[in-house]
Amino acid sequence: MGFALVLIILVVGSVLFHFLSPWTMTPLASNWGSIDITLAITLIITGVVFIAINFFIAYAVIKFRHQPDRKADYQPENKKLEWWLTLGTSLGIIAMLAPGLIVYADFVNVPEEAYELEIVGQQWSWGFRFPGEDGRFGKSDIRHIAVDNPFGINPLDEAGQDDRLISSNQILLPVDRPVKMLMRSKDVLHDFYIPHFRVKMDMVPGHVSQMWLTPTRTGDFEILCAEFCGVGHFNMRGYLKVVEQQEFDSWLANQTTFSQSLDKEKSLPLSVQAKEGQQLAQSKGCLACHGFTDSQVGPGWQNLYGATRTMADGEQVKVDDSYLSQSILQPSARVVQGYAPIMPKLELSELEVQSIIAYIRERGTDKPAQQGGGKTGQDLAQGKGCLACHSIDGTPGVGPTWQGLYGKEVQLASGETVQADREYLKESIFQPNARVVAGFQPVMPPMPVSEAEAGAIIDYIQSLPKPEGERHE
Amino acid sequence: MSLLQVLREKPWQAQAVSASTSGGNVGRTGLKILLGVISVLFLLFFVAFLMRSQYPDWQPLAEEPGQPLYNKSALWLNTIYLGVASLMFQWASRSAGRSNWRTARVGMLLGGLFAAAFVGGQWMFWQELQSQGFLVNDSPALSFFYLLTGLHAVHVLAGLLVWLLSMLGLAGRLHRTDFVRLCTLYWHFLLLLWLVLFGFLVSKPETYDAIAAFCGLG
Amino acid sequence: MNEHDQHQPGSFFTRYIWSQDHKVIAIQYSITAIFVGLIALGLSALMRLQLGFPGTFDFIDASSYYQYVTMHGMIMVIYLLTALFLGGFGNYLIPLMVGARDMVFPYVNMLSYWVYLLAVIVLLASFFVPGGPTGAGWTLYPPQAILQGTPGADWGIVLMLISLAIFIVAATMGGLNYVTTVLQARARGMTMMRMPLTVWGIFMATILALLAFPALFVSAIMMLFDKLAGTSFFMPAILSMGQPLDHEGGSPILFQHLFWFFGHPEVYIVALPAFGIVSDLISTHARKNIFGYRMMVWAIVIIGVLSFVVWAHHMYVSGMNPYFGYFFATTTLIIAVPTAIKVYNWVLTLWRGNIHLTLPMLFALAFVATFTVGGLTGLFLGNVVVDLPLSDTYFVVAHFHMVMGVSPILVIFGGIYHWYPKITGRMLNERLGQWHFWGTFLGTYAIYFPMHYLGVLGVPRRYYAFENYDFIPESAQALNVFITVAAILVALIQLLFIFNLVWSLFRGREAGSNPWQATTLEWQTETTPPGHGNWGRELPVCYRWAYDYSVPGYEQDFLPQNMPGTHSAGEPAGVRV
Repeated sequence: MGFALVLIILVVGSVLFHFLSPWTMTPLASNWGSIDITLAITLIITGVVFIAINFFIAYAVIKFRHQPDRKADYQPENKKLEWWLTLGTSLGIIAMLAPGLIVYADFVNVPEEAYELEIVGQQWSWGFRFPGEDGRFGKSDIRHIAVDNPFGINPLDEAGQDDRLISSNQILLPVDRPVKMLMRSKDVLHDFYIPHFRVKMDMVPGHVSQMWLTPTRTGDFEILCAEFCGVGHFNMRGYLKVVEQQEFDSWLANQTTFSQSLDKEKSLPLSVQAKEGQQLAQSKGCLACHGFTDSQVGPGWQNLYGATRTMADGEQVKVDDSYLSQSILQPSARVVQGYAPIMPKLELSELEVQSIIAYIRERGTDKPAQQGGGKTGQDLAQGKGCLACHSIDGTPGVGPTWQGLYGKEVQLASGETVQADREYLKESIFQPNARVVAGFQPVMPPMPVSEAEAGAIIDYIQSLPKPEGERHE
Repeated sequence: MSLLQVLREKPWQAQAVSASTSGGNVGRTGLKILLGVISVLFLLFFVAFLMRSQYPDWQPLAEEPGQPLYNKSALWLNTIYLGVASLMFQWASRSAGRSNWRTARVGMLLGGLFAAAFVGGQWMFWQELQSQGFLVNDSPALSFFYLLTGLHAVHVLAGLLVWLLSMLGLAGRLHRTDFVRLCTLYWHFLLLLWLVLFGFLVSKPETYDAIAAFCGLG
Repeated sequence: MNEHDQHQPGSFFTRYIWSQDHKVIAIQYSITAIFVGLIALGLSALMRLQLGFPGTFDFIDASSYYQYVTMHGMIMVIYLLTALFLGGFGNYLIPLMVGARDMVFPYVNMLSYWVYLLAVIVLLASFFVPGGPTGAGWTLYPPQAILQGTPGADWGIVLMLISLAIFIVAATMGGLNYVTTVLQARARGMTMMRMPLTVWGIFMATILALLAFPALFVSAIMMLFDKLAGTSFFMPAILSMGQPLDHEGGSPILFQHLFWFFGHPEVYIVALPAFGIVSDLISTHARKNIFGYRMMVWAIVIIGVLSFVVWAHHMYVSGMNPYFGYFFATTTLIIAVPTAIKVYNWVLTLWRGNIHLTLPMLFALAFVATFTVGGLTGLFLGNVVVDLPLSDTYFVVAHFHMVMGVSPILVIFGGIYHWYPKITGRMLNERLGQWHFWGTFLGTYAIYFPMHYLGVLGVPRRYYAFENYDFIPESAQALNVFITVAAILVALIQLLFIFNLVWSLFRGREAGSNPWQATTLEWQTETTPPGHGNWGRELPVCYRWAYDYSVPGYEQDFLPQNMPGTHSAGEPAGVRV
């Protein structure tokens, strides 16, 4: 009797739990709502069976419990009943399988208009590659992988020269466009998974797997690895931001191409120790989260050495050898404000740590004779793509015009007004979305320039002729 | 009684009490099941082999001079040893059936010795390959070769262990004819397995392609 | 098999240690299996402590966590469940239920236990080697299983693979015994269809084991070669920690095909004996024949056969040829039909029964309830496209624990409460049993039912920690704490059971020879516990099927299988609703 009661409570409780619990599928952000529907159909059919079977047991246990005068029935089989039950079950199975296979057919057949994106997994970070203007990926091979060629692209393959490379664990994608993701791995099995998008697929070394989806709303999404890949599996983070097409285009235009990446690395004379550090920074995955620009994953290394940073607890710390060493060996000891404590602990020898610090110091510091190399602010504004969005003659564009900007009072999106002085302009270059001018979208990417270069650009802005009738200090 | 007949019986109905099933040759049944298991084992290896053979980097073992199995004479010799072993066991089996125990014992002895010669011959062939620089991790086909011949030899050795224990009088209480017959069956199986293995390992790539296509492994 | 050939034991050693008696071997298997099972249970407690209280237990770092995960899984699936159902229940019950004196190859049977023990020792040794046991996950996927970055990639994985190979040898030796005994050593009158479903379940499971374990053997040997000899069966050209390796050309997906060709039948190797035992528990304790016996047998056979063609439903997101998804989703959902029939037949046996809510019955009913949940969630995962969001999340973990970890374990308990009186002559303590039952049933439900919802949310499995993920709400961590607390409580409750097993050996109520008044042959032995050779001078003769309960026209509500005579009720009446 008690058992029957408990069983009924269990069933009722389970059903209530289902409807009242806060743990449901993450809000859909892709075209795969059909999966949600199929899941719902399965839930309804199985839910009915779950309730029916358990209630039947409870009922039987009460009605047919042992009594002194009770005698059980004797019926070895009942062909008719068994036949009906088989039929009914088969129909239920078909009712789940049919929609499931129809939706699966959608998954297997990639739409013609989908553009391609390559996702490369490694222990324990993500890399991404776009095919560039020619629409074709350069061939890649494990044998080509080196410090200056982390994607292993064949340097002799024409098609690969314009491929856009993103090594920094974060990627933007345009909304409402189907994307075919071609996936591979450099070492072990990984799996690219964003719960809001529903679909996932393993990334297999030695093989290219694929899946497709269409992001249907803008937003920030976390990428998770969903196939065990070693001790860093749970911390293999990435970030995907879905944006409007225009923002995506300008972001993509700013990503390094394969040929540029080869040039950039070639033109840097580093000491032997720093070269060693560069090798380590690549192979240990440091560069995935720390680049030489700021990212939301880890503090950028540009101009880091010798600078002062604020920690999560408000402490101001000078970034010297001992702080960097501690950050490598005990990452959660002192975390820079604004960053989550997700850096994994690394096992490195004293010498290895020193060489990485040397790399951070040499590569990330401005050497006036090296960086900028005599380029004027105007050249920079051109070469870095600023002029793509900011005009110099008052024409409206994606970003505020630079004509008459220096020193002007500008109104921000927040309602505040601020003077566009050197401080503000510098902030706008390095942290563009901190204070955005009213009427403009927060689409400007952080610029990969040095302090000296930023200064040159600001000089250039200041030097621009003011529009008629306006006089400012 | 076929499986279908067995499963259709309605056991709650009255029926005549049948004779017991025991007394049948349990040893033979047990051995046949074991041979089934071993067959499944090697079949799975063959499937893996076929799958691998379809990759572009596959290099066959016996097509051209310089390939490890191009010169098959050592393997043929070993095959003869194993064949003779089977013959000896068969002879022992027939002798035992006629209760001619002296010849049965001779047959058993020779059978085991020739089987041991087979294992010895395989070992020597391995040594020869190694000295020519054909190591286990050189190519996928070579890896499979070592693996498959090694496992086959292990099964021959396991049989030899049982054979040795019984020749020394240390094995269980099997009736002598039964035991001889079981040995014979086992060795015939190993010979057959070896012939299939041998043929498989030295096949042309076209043969692998054809089988793979047939099985849908392309 | 000549009765006079039976080995008569002499010394203490040959009676209880180097015994060839199937009953002693069964107990040896069971004690060893339960022992390693308790170790695995402890490992799961450590895992749950980390998940419920991250950052609190410093000694559980990511490496250790993954080692616990792997060893817990492998021990539970292979060394506990398979060994206990086949080596424990199979060894004890088969000869008794079919009316034989012992297994047909007693010497090989004895060897199989000692080889199993060797496999266990090799496995446990991996805790003590440099680098510790492997932390590759129980599925041991290459390339990571043998590469730096995964714990135990030096020694642990090697010992694991060797241990598995040794276990497979033991399982083959045992399996030959179980199958041949059922086919060739049944008593007079014991046709295949007069065998109780317990025997059918274990018989079919053994056939699956004999045919499926070779696939695991193949993959283990090939992985050992890749690790130790530098071959490239499964290893493509890759980097490890940034450095290129010598391997090239191998296929990680090949391993998955081989592993799951074994792995899926493996879960039925665990489930089928449970199905068989549950049928007998329900039937005996409801005093009613199992409903649809023939269909139950056919379902066991069909499930066994189909279990070989569903394996790639574990590989829907593996990157294999996507067209395979259609085929395997179809076969997987088809296998649900005979399984569902079995569930219907269990509950229909209750209908118009005379139900005694004894401990075995309670455990059997709890099995049906929890297996229904687990089996139904399998339909979500089997339907390929619904599996895409759920694969590798806690939904899978909850599903397989329900069907492998909860339901079969409940059957093991039910079976032990049921047969303990036959094995020892004493009853297990009722009060302790009731606490054990309710704690285990409600506790495991509380652990695994809510866990499905974490999976639906998208929380991935095999994660050491979940901090700083925006899509996981705070409340999910509260759920993790709840699950951990429930898990610790359930683990502790098992101590009651262990205590009960030992205590009742000395102080349990005397049981008599057939306390449950069951029909099957094992209850009709001359002595309890059965002596060596089981039946005394004469072997039993079987006159009826195993389910003559409450036969109309008889005083007592059960007719033992060896009771002569026939009854007139040839054809049954329909279900009177």
